[in-house]
Amino acid sequence: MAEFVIFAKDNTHPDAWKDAAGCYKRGDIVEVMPDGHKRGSKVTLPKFLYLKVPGLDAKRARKYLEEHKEQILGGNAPIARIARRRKYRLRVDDLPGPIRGELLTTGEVTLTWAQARDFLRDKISQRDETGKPAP
Amino acid sequence: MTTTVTSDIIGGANHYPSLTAWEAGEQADITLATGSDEIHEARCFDGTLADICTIFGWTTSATNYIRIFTEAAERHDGTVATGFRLTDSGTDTAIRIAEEFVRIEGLVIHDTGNHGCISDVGASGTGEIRVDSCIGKSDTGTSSSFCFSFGSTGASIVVVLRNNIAYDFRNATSGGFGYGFLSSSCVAYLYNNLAYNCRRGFVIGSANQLLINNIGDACEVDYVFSAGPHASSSNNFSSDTSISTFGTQSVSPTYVNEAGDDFHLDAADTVARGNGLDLSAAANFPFSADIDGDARSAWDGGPDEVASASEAFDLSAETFAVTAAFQDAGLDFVAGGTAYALDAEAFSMEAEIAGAARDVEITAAALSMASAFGDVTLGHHLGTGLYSMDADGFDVEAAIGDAGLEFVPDPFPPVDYSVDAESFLMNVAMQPATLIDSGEVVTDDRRNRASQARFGFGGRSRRA
Repeated sequence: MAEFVIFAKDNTHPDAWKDAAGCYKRGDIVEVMPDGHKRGSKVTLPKFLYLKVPGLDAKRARKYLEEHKEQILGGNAPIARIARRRKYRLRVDDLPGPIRGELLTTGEVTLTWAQARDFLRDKISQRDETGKPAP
Repeated sequence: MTTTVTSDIIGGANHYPSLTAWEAGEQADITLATGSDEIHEARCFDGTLADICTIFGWTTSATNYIRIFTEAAERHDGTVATGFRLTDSGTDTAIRIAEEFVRIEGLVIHDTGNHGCISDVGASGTGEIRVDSCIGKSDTGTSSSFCFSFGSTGASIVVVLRNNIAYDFRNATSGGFGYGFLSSSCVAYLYNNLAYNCRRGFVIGSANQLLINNIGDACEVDYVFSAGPHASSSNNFSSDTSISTFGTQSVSPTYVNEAGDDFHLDAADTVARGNGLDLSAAANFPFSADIDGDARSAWDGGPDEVASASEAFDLSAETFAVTAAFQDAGLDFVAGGTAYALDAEAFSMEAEIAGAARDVEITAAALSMASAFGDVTLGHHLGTGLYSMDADGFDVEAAIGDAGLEFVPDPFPPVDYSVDAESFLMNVAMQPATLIDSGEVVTDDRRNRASQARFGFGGRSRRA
């Protein structure tokens, strides 16, 4: 089972670029951990949520930790610069009412891959993982 | 007033399980001007953490900075074998810095997948990044990345690297660097670092970058100057000729265990020992300790300072374990008296004290003798009075041979002798136990029981 550690709030920065590129936003997948991992006592509401997906391999699910990078000129050569902390996010506020309620009240919820993928969105393409097999 | 906010990583009662979670959870404006006026620390506990941490999205300043560190008890011992160890998960650099004011201290970082240990990935504006007493190692031994990379650091960021070790970053055909400033013109201070067995040890990109007391050793090329270094660079060492006029060429220090990756300087070394420049009063970023936290005195080159022979020893430990024989240990207690005190809360002797020809007074709350006390005399010629051996716990697990417990009442008439102990356990015989009792023993029942316990050998007695 994979356990997604989801950021529950919006961090902000007065610099618009740094805000978009550097700050964690609500729904960002901060960590993907295997079943039974030792949770940190500080990783709780109101900053963090847990989404548990039985049957999903945690190593493969780490693809959802991917950053979005862009190429800029640094020194004499192009370098990759972070443009978004995470490429994927969980659409927390679009989850069905009972599921959302449980998640926001208890801090965690268990969903099947078929349930979860419809709310895992690629921020760049703006498409969910709907219909995609588990990674 | 600036407040320091310390969060624990992978240990402690209230902790984050990773640096990534900590960075997300604490990310904020911590400056005095617009934020919380704080220093944010991630205190890493002993253990291994697979993580890739990017520091980004904060607002920091010179006095409101981010610090990732280990305390002494959780820190490496100058090698990668102990202390908090960070691995890069094999997919990217372990710690990437895109923030202006960041300090990293006392970490072991393993590059497991050709991505490097610490790199600047776009810190801009004015800033100061410090990396002190860290050890970066390529586990593959063929990494083509930079261990410590500041190749794209902005011109207004000052980088300070002190007492670090980078080794085994050595790709056969391309890449593999210890310390990289290839395309950067940032101001940098590289003090007392070691690059060992890298394809390129130190890659310097500007005359703004000052190198003092560094060692490049066993690299394909120890130092590469695409520009610079700073004209004041000095007291560096290279095993090849690449350091040129900025130090000593064609020399290799002697380490404690080079084959075992223990790069502490050997006491017999003559290359780097005492040949560094004293930086305790350097104009910028002075310091006075080595990678182990030991005080620098003679100023050796590289991250380690060999301890001075005249260093004082502190024997005031709460727990004092002696596991080897005390034979002429050379502990001279010159107090002008005749008694020598070994006072300890817990005092464990596992070896024999042979031939300790001196009076020893042992006053310990818990005294465990696991082995024979050879020729230790508890010698008191007893006068009139009540004598007691009071101990909450007194265990004798080995033979007391010729213990010389002499009860010599003087004068008559008889007096009370008792062995008072809450718990007095003898597992083996006391013999020969010579009783010299020229007096008269009290014969009432209670005293008899005590006497039997004392002289019956093997009994357990409580005070009558």
